[in-house]
Amino acid sequence: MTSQNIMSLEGVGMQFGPFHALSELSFEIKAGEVLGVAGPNGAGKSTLLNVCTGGLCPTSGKVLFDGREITGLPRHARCAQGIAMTFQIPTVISSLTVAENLLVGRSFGGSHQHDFDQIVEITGLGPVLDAEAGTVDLLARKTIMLGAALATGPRIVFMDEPLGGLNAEEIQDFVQIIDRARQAFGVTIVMVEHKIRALAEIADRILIINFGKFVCLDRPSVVLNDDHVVEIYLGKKHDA
Amino acid sequence: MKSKTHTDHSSPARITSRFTGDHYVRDSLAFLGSALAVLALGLLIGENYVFHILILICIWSAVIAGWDLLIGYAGVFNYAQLVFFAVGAYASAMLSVSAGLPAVATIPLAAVIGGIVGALIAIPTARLKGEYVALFTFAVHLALPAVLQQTRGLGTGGSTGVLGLPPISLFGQTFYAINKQAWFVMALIVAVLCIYLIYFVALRSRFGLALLAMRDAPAFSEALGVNGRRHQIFAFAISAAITGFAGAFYAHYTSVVTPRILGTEFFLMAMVMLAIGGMGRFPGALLGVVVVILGNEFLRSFDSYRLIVLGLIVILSVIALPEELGGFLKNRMRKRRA
Repeated sequence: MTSQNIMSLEGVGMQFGPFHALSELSFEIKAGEVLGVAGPNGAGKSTLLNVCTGGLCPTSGKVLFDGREITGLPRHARCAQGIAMTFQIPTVISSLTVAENLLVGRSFGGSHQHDFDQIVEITGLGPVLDAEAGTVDLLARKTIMLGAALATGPRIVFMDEPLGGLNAEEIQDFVQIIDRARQAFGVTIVMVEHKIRALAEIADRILIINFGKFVCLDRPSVVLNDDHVVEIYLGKKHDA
Repeated sequence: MKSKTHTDHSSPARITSRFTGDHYVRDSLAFLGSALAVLALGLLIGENYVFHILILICIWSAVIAGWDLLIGYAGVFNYAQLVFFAVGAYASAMLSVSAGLPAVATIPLAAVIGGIVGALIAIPTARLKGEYVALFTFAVHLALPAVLQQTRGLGTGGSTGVLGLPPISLFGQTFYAINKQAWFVMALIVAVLCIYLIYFVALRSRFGLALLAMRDAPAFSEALGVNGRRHQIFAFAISAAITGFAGAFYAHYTSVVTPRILGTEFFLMAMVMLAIGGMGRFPGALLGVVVVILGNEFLRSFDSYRLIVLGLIVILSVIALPEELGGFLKNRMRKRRA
């Protein structure tokens, strides 16, 4: 393998009472790639993201970052190591200005820092820096989340359904922002996304999970033509 | 960089924010100027009754500033604020009466003890969310009188409290409670110190940024590297230390401490101050203190109807000024600028 793994999951399981949200999940995230995570509703995508970013501590298995185990570390400690995330529900620190939202990431994030002015330029937040973050529109909120995440100086950013609620034009804009951020800072991106077409365009590889179990992980063209994946999404070919 | 209270990281030029020292000197001077104006006004009037009212305003301002830090800025619904006040008052009373230490030593010690108690209450509180914080902290408030009753042997005096607290002696001079002018000056210094520490040092630093971030978006802030639990415990400790300091000062002013300071009337007054003034909208809460203390004095002739009238004022202010005094002032300022 030419590229190095930045994060790996080893037999990760997450159990809520009798319910197995994730079971025996193992895979690697390569440094610098865009990894898409897809699967039907309730497949465990958000749980997987939380296990990777510290929102949840898995009930079995290990999460490794740069070869070091981080399984039990809380969110803020993972952030300090270079793991950032954006949320499915667009959350901003509403009473602070846009600039101050980014400042939080910069002040409390990891020791490595990406150039602030470059973040502002890439995200295009320049004109609204002094606006109160609670007053801006959906796309701007999502951009603030990404900008603040980038301000923590991450090496990997997990994004939970970043394109949800955006129209076609906004999706294009936001995908472009993500792409530029990735090129400028060399960050690895992992995104959970329902919009499989947009995902196929931006992702280097796509991971499909179903019922909390690994289904496949490969290039988009391979994954989308996989019979099993088509079956999961559309039902069996020769049903009827 | 104008002050050492700013973020450790050097901020890029494109961020202009009160957390990076924007308007710091201007706002500080405005605050200190207002304090000097109050000092001049008090000394000009020079009447004992007015001094007494101003002393109460000063002491309550420190308490409410501490409470505003937790409820308004950290978004933690702590209802044990008067516990910190009582801890400070009792600590100073017991140290001065039982242990015979001078007031100048016991008042700062009371602040330290208050801060420790605050941190101890904060540790279990930090595990709770929303209304459970209010329930737990109010339970602490309700339990304290019973605890004081049971610890009579330690010198709390049970329901009679501690009597005969010594006056403050400074620079070879003893200030008895009768010397209202001296107490007014001391109370003003205490208030200015406490308010400055909270609104200008703590809340304008990286620490204040973390508190506001945690209040508005806890999960997001944690993901941005903020250790929410640690900041919350620290906020409790600061708030409790300052409130304990004010409580100790108050105890030496009145020279008695009784469990009455944990009674309903004090608690309601504090609530009304915050409700009228506004939480997290400096200087709203402090204006609330002024309105309530003055209102309380003007309504003295109403006797037992006083609380009803105060209640009516709260209802009217909530309806007429939904953003409280603090928000009302802010909007007026904005309109004038526009």
